[in-house]
Amino acid sequence: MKMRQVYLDNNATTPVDPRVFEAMRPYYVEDFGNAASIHTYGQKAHCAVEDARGQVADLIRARPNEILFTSGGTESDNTALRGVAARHQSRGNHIITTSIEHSAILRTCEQLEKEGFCITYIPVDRKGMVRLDKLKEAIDDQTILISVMHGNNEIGAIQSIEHIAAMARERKILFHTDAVQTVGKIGVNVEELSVDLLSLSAHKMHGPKGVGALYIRRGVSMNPLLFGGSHERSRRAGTLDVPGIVGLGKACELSNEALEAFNTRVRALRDKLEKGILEQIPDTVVNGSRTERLPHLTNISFRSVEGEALLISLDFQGVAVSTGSACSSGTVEPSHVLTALGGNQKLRDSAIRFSLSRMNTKNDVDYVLQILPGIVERMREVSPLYRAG
Amino acid sequence: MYSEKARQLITELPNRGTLANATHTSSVENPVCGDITHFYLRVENGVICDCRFQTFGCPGALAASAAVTVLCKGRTLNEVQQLTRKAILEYLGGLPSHKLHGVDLAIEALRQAIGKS
Ligand SMILES: Cc1ncc(COP(=O)(O)O)c(C=O)c1O
Repeated sequence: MKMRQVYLDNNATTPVDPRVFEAMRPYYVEDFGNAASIHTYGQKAHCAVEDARGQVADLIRARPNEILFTSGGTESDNTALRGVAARHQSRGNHIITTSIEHSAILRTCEQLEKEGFCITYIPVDRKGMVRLDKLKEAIDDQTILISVMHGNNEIGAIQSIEHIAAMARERKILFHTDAVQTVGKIGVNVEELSVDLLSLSAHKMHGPKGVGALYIRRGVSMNPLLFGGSHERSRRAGTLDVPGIVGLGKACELSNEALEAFNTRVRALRDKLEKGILEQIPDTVVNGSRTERLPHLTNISFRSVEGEALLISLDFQGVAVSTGSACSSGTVEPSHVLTALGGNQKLRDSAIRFSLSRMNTKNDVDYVLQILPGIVERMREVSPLYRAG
Repeated sequence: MYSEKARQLITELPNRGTLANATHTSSVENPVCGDITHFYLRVENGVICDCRFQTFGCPGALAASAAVTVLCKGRTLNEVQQLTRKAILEYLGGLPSHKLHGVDLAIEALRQAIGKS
């Protein structure tokens, strides 16, 4: 009998929706034109790209010409930070971000530090919420950009972006949010959030990998990351990935339609999974806020059980999840997000992230709840750290 | 990827737990990654007649320490003193290259256990 397969690592990536794949298919072999060409081939591709731009804009309530296509969340984040930094450095050299950002932001900031920029990393409280008092304190007359992620990829904490954006606006500072984990899952409205720049990525919402977008509010000036042809109104050079962009557009359209269901059905599945784990398995704790949180994810520490060992044991039974920390060649790379929450280090190394999507079913959750208690029990029997009670 | 043998050991975790009447025990920790292994052996007339382990660590460390307990049972102290990294890896059908340190932790724990009674 084939082992049941349950994919609960949708924050890493999601399966492409077959309808997305079908939408992309013609643009590889038949309608393969370069969107910059004037002939019919090119114009077909061009129209497809502009339709997709409209679909992306609709999802986040932006105008189509505020959408810049990129190669994904990483490039969108790099473009936002580096583009603003380069353009506005005559006004100041200070950028504010947080300690729980994705590495696409953190590593870019480190690079900007080497290039002479000053970066302030705002800490979070135990729930993973950015310390707004510290953020306010950090703003000075050199600050040109604040970048705070919308939903955290590891614990799902949702920041009060509209508050932070308002703080930035008041001081005439540009504001960017990495919304890679929220767009397509919860309602994201660039007007309500009042952001200047916003990153999103197709493969986190059943679109293809390697394509994303950066929302750039009309009137925001910034430098390009890539130089070359005059694609994307000279904001990003490079022949457009037409099938990928079509896929992103379709993924946005489908996610838009499914937002309500995501918030009810997927949330209910997550709640069932979380409740089941907490009730059936002793000595488990949820990491991060349980209220200001994405609806499809839970991050749980299993006391005295090493996270990667639990991940692999689940994998052997067909269940895919993730850990924050990874042990490689005898060194553990601890999760910087769980570290930022503070608390016990061993508990941090016992954390497992379960992230669902609209493709998951009740049977998936039931299967995990059926096998997980036994696995944890066995792993605790082998753990020198576990004392029941 | 883990070999069939490693998968089986990680799934079943044979010889897990403690041994009340152990004659030899050890406790080692990898200071870098924090993996911890305890061994419990009961030795009679120079023969390891029972052997248990406890490990908090990555799958590689779990597989390697379980493998060592399987390989030790029924052998003499002299024999297990000769147990090499290579022999353990052979039994395991290999480990992913970034997990090889799990074998070192297991050997260290075994050496420490048989070195003191
Ligand atoms: C919060 C966040 N930002 C950025 C990225 C990077 O996106 P991409 O994989 O499309 O480059 C990810 C993906 O892991 C993410 O979770």
